[in-house]
Amino acid sequence: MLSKLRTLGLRGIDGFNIRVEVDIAAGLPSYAVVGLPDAGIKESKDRVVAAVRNSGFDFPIKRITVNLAPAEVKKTGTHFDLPIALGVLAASGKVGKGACGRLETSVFIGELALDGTLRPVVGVLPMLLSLKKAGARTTIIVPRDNSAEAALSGLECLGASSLKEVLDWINGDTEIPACLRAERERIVSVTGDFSEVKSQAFAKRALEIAAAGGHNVIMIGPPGTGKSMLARRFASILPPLTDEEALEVTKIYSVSGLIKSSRLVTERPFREPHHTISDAALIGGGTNPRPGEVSLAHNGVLFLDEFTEFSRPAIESLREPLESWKVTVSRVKETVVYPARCLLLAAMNPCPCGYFGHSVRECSCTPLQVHKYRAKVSGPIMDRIDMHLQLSPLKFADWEAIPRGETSLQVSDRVSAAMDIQRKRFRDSGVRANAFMGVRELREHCRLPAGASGLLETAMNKMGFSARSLDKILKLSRTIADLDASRELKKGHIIEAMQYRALDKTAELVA
Amino acid sequence: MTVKTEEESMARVRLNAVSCMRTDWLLRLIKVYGGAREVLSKSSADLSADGGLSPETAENFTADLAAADPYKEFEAARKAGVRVLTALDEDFPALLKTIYDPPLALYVKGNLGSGGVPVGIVGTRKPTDYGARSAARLSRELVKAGLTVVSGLARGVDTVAHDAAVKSGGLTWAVMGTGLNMVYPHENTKLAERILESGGALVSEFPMDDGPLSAHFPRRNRIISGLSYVTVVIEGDFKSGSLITAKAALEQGREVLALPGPVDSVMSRGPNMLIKNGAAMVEDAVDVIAALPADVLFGLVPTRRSRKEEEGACGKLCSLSPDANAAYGAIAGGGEGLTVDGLVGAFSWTVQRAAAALFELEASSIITQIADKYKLKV
Repeated sequence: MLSKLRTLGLRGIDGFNIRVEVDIAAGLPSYAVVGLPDAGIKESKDRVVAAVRNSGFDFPIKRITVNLAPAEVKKTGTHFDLPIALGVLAASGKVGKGACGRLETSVFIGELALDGTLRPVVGVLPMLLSLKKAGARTTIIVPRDNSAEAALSGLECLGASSLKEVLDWINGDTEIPACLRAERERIVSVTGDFSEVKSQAFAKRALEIAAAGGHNVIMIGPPGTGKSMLARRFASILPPLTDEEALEVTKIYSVSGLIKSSRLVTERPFREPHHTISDAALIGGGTNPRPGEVSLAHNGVLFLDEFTEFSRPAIESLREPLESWKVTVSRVKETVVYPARCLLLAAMNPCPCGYFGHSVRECSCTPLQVHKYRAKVSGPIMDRIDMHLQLSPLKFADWEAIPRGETSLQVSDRVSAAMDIQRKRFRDSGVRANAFMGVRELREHCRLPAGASGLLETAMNKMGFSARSLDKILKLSRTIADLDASRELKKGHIIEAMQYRALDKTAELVA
Repeated sequence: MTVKTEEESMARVRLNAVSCMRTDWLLRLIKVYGGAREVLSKSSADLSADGGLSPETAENFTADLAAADPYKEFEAARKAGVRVLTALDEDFPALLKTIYDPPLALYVKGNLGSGGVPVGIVGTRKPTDYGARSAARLSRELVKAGLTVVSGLARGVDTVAHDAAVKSGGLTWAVMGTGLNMVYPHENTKLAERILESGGALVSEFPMDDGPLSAHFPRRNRIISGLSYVTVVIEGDFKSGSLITAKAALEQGREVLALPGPVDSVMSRGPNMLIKNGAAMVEDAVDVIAALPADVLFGLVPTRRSRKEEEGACGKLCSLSPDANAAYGAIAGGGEGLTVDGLVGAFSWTVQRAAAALFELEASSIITQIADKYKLKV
């Protein structure tokens, strides 16, 4: 006998329809899965057999063929257990004649434990969202532990707990509870508050601008100047994700199996990989491609501490995501695209010993060493970084002072307001923030105020700014103006923006 | 040049390539035997008998001489566009000839002939802001007055002095502690090129391919002072290359001048000691020119900084906005330079307001940014 069921497959962060066909025929007992299954799916045989038996059924000792169609697409994942087991049961006559409607029209997703209970799987949300996009109106059975995640898709989903329950539901003997959307909550950041940072008014202001406009930042300063402290608190001034962004992020987290308590991810991601990370882990890859840190930081922050200690291939691999805000992982059999629109926050020492330009401690590096150290961050990467932030060690008076700056919430509100202005401005253009403006947008939205061209000319001739740095300065001044809620760029905005491009100035010979 | 002098030059270049013997001993041998060719013709036994060398030294010496290849040296020099001068050449610097131990050979790239009055500027490789600022200013003033700045192309004061001279369109000579086929420190390669482009010269007594051996630098220092009428010490501790140069200058009978500094600054201990011992104190180019021998003064155009430059500075300052003026005061008074944060903290300004004041000062070339700090421009 033959049975046919529907399930879903995952390619990158997109799902696609799969039909599971199970045929049971007379002949020597055998069990074959065809249709380019990966090792995980082949192993499902033993789980399926045990789960069927432990649910109180006999496993047919016949010639069983399982086909996953379309047959030419590679399939991965453990969520095929449930549809395969149901297919076997249906093909061996365990589904009543009158109940076949539910079996044929529903979509089944789930991994089986040997006792027949359903285990949660990765990638439920992206698969369901693709289904929704395709306009399907159907019932979806997912493991109960994936209920909350599945509910985010807005489709009609049921959260089942065991194979037996699903079979009974198909036969119309029981009902499975529908998946309910978990309450969306604002998780209070545990990374600390902006008001805890002493002094560093300049750095705080710079990070506020970076957050508002989505500008990449590189922080340069001796050890102990608060680079990491500022970076970790950076997450706390970012406003929560919008609904659309939250879904995008949750999709990626779902594929990576990182969703905890299967809630919608509402906080902006803050990823902080160690500098020994491989290039594949940073941008994504592997035989069965998985999203890397840049994608996990999508719509959030990628913080790379000790930037120069990252391997050269890792640093260079950032070029694509920083330019096109996505990562393409190409393998012989498939090509996957992961979104990667993250804000890069890099931190480095000014020289190998760390004390170049320090007011008290002496730097023991030769100029050549300093030059080589800085050259580790190549030109193309520096071109993609909008803001340079040079930090100075705290003075004793600052250390002693009781911090009394603004709280993260206060800053975050301003950032939020500036982001709203940008959203309105770029409504129809696909650009999300000032940092992503192209030449056209730059010309349209960054008109120079009267008298400012002389200003920029001085900057170019006297301070050594290049034409490219002037473009960056304009982008930054747009964000500064947005924080001021000013429609027009003002001279003050442009001058402040120059402060964040210090490395473009002509270097002095002696420090 | 006659065949005879050409052979003598060749012999001197060969002697110069020997590193196991001091220049003054080589000169003594030449004097004893009446010429460099004669020295070469002697066996080690002769050298120890007549020349007063110990048998082992004489042995090493003749072995080194045999190994040296002056033809290769000349070929390498020709390829690099370098001229090899000996005391027999007319254009060997006259001033250098008069010192106790002038180099047997001088490798010169660029032009040594047309320069104005050469004056040495030496100092530490790690100057303070004050030292760097003063070296640059002095160098600028000296070349504007028509003098040539001689220094050693090392890091720190040397670099600043050469750089300021080149940028002011003046002439400068770099006396190097390596052969002319390399530049040490490496990052000054561009500076060396600029020195040549601006009509200056690179000078060395070491064979073309010699590296930066530590023994080379004290020897190099005597050439800096030997090429110069006077030597100015900018900064340096008690035991420093700058004081070696000062000592060499005194031995050569040349005037030494020193830039005074704070008594609690380590880098000013050397020059302050020199002043205490009678060296002339330098404030600006006029002090240097006053120390020059009368016969070279013709044609020099000294300008006293205290009037012209300070007027210029005041002219700039007077037209500043109140904010920029306040910022200038904070930076000038701070000594170590000021960060944006420092300015924000000092006046309780916003970052934007501080940025505007700093931009105004920077655009008027009054201050400059180094790492995170703003400092007065040198």
